[in-house]
Amino acid sequence: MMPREKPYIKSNRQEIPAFAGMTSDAQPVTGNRQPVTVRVAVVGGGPAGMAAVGALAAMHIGVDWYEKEDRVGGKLNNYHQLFPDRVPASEAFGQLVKGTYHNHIDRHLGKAITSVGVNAGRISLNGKDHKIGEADAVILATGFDFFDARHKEEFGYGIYKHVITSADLETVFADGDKLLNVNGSAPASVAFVHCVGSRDEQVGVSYCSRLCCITGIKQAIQIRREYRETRVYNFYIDMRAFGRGYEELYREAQENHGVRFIRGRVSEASEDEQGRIRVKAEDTLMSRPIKLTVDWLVLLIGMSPSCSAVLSGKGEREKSFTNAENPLTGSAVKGQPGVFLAGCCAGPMSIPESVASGRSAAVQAAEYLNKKNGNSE
Amino acid sequence: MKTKFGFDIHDNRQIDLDLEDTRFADEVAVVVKSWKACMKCGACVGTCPVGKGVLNLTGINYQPALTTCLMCGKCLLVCPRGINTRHLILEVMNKYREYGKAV
Ligand SMILES: Cc1cc2nc3c(=O)[nH]c(=O)nc-3n(C[C@H](O)[C@H](O)[C@H](O)COP(=O)(O)OP(=O)(O)OC[C@H]3O[C@@H](n4cnc5c(N)ncnc54)[C@H](O)[C@@H]3O)c2cc1C
Ligand code: SF4
Ligand code: SF4
Ligand code: SF4
Repeated sequence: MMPREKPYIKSNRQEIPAFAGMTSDAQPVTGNRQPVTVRVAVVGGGPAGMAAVGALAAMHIGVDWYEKEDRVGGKLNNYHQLFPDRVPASEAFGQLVKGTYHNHIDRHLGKAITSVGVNAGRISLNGKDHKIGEADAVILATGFDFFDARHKEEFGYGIYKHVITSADLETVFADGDKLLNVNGSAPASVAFVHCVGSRDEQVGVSYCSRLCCITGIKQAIQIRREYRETRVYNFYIDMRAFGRGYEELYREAQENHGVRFIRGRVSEASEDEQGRIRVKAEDTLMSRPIKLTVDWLVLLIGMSPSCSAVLSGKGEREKSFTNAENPLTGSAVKGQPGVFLAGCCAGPMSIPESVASGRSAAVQAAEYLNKKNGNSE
Repeated sequence: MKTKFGFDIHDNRQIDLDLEDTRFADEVAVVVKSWKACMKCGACVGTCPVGKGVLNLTGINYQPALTTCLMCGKCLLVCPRGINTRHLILEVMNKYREYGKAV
């Protein structure tokens, strides 16, 4: 993944060489290479893909692993610390990637799969204008795309310098950059806008992205840890802190870090003469309009679908996540026997959920191959 | 109101759902169905040049405020539930007239 552009933030980032373990000759490979008769393709190298590959390797199933970037890791590569326990993203990456160093795994970096064709039990994986590979089963783990905040023009992303997204802020933290105000000192105030590109008919997105509330809590705390004097406000519609330890982190943000949570959607942002950001909203619990000027406005962007295009082979982006045939019991894709979904390409989920989903897809693929090859009991 | 005992008497602040009459709202919702989808997020109020927004205008108790609406449509542009707010405000005004109330 390319480092995101942040022309206005002074960067301390050292050029990080591609993860050393990723070149095929530098890996501490485990497991004997046995003659394998079936091969599974895993498309996508994020947390879900890494988990699926690790599980398949542990079952001694041969894997062709495709990743469009020049390194695996997915979104994890640009994160700082993970909620709710503040585990460094690099540590989580290390744990997940460890399981993928195995003799039965062939990595294909820089390979984007644009369509998948199922034909008489064999599945072909195709690039833009040529076939890239073949497999007996495929796990799609193509993840999600960050919502493009420029579509919400009223918040001024890409127009005002001091409006950034939660994804930008993660890289600021991860790179050890400073979040300074226009005069080069610590910011006096920062506001977060929840539900940007989620739950919003104006941009055709009806679903909740599930993780932006807790991301907002995590990042608000991080700002308060780095800048003790900075006032932090979170403007939410509904607080959705659903996971293990999330509600506790919400409370910690209030009690220990003095983050102010205001129930009301920000309706618009504008820039004042000094380049600070003026915010308009309503405190719906007080029934009174709000005006606030902040040094940084952070948009908690939602997750947009990324893999329906791969599935349909149309190369078009559809505004929906891919549905499993029977989401209650598994992640097989309807009408595409042998194709399974893992991670955020099936809908917004956290990293532990994506990992569980990747492992589950690996088991489903193994079951499918067993049955197909007549090994079922 | 000041009493001679020195107490203030206010309107009852409690919302008594037991006595709620939803007929007016239901009638408006027949015409502007999306009204029911309002999640009370307040974006319309935040953006309203006269500080009202549909949220404050369309409750039956807020009737006098209707006259301050400029029909500018800003609330329509920000509503995350895609409610046709201008249509809604007009319909509420119509209903008031029907009910013989001044707008
Ligand atoms: C701002 C923000 C902060 C977050 N912080 C946390 C956190 O602290 N803790 C937590 O648990 N979760 C967090 N999440 C959620 C987390 O990002 C996801 O759970 C996780 O990234 C999902 O993993 P994935 O493998 O499904 O997808 P991704 O991480 O998106 O990985 C998908 C991979 O597939 C590759 N790919 C895509 N298309 C193709 C193709 N056609 N061909 C080949 N390769 C392809 C991509 O390059 C990428 O490497 C956060 C989310 C956001 C938006
Ligand atoms: S998780 Fe929170 S911020 Fe994200 S879409 Fe859902 S309610 Fe909005
Ligand atoms: S149309 Fe009326 S209620 Fe809506 S923003 Fe304009 S003045 Fe306010
Ligand atoms: S912006 Fe729409 S959903 Fe939000 S309070 Fe106003 S009418 Fe309701």
